[in-house]
This record gives sequence, structure tokens and C-alpha cells, in this order.
Amino acid sequence: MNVYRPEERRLVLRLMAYWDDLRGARTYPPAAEIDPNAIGDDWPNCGVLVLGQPLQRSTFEYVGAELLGHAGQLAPQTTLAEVPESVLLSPALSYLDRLLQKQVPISLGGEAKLEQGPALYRSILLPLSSDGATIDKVLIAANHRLVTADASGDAPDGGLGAHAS
Amino acid sequence: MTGDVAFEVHAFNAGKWKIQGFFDDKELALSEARRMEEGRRYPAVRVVEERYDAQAGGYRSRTVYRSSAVDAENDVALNERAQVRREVQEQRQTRGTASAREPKPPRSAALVYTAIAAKALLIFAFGFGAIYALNQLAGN
Repeated sequence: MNVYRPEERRLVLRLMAYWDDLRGARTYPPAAEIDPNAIGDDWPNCGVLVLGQPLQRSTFEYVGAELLGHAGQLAPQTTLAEVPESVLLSPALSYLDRLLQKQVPISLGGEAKLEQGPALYRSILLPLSSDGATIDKVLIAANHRLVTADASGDAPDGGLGAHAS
Repeated sequence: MTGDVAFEVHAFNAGKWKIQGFFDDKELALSEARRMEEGRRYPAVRVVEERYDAQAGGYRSRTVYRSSAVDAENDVALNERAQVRREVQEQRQTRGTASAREPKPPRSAALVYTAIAAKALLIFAFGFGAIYALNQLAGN
């Protein structure tokens, strides 16, 4: 498996470690320093959101295929408001306002109704800044597991990362 | 996500605790705190649980994990000192010096007073003898 910190089985913690190493002593790293090759096989589970005003008019610099499912890809200049609710990207970004409020990485999980069916997802939002102070972009990472009829409805834990590996 | 409980990872730096990450899963927060601890960028790391208390109508905070590089260093130092003390004690016992360092048994009060009286008597006798000798010399 070609990922950052392969010894870590959870996607969100791998991305958190990458983000933390990338920023070093800075408060936030800039999006320009993100290296898809370093993120490796996790890159299709990632996305980069360019924040706009108002927030719902934010656009995407990159969205990995795993975040879009069968939708494949978003049209250029698709805004946050236009993201279909049935793709993983939508619940993964549902707490974007909390990220901007707390100004630190946030990882939440929960249930979502995706186009493939009900699923448990786990995502992380990582703040990025071109000037080191103001958050202007967000690195998104998420994965999911479809819920079968006999599966527990418990919220997903970190083990969901194994799904992506 | 339950919404009732959240876990914040804090790091101590420049004299204050600062939030570094926010999780709804305790195991994720603990894992991240341990990773930060291993990175040794911060002298201390902790995980704070924020749980909603419906009765109080607010969030209650409690630290569920705390690790300090200073604490770890202190533990190592304490263990090393304890080890040195044990080795010294063992060496003393081997050499039989432990008994030599035991305090002398206290003498009885009567013995002490007798010794003082004997010393006083000797001083008096020496003084009397000296005066007598001087008188004899002056007389000659």
C-alpha cells in the first residue's frame, strides 16, 4: 500500500499526520505544498476546497474519485451548494462551519444515504492557508462503508480507515 | 456522530494549552495524542472530553489522557535514583558496614555525672597543686 505512514490503518489519522508534518512549526500549511505522490493511494479519497464568500459558493480545486462515487467527476466551478447529497463529499463537508469556527482539524463520522445505499462514513477536514494565518482552502479526506441490513447502526470508529486501505 | 460528546486534543506550548484537533471518536483522539507525543514537538499533550450535560444545560470537560515529556523524564530519573539506592544498600550489607553505621547506645546518666565529677576533681587538684608550687617558688 503506497500511502503516507502505512503503519497507520486509519485514513483520517494518516492524513492528519501528513498535514501536521507538512505544516511543521506553522499554524497551517499552504495548499501549494500538498504532494499527491506523498499521500499516495489515499489521494482519491481526498479533495481540496477553495473557500468562497458566502461559504456555499466555495469551489473545488480537486476532488478524488472516491468522494464522488458513481458521479465520477464534478463540473468545473461546481460550488459547495451544488454538490449532490448522495455523494460522500456532501456529508464529509457537512461540518465545514465548525472547522472555520474552531480553526483546527476536525474529524467526524456518521451515517449517510449515498447513491450506493446507506453508509457509515468517517471524514476529516484540514485547514490550509497560503499566508499561514487565514484559512483559504480545506483539505478533505473521507471513506465509507455500506451498511447492510444486519449491520450495527453504531457510529463508525477509526477502524473505518481499513476500508480505504 | 452522537453529538453529545467530543474529544479535543490539546498541546502545551509557550506556557499555554492550545487545541490541535477535534474528534467525535475517543480512540481517534487518543491515537492522535500519542502520535503527537511521539513527535516530541510539544512538552505535553492531553485529550479533553467535552460531554453535554442536559441537566446543567452545558458541556462538562474532563481530561481523559495526559502525557508530559517532563513527567516521563522524571519517571526515568526517579527509577535511576531508586536503583542507585538499592545498589548502595546492597553493597553496604555485603561489606558489613551497615552495623558500623549504627548509633552508639546511650550511656546512663549516673555514668555521665561521675565522669564530670572526676574531671572537675582533676582540674581542682591540678589548680591547687599549681598554686602551691608557685607559693613555694615565691618563698624561695
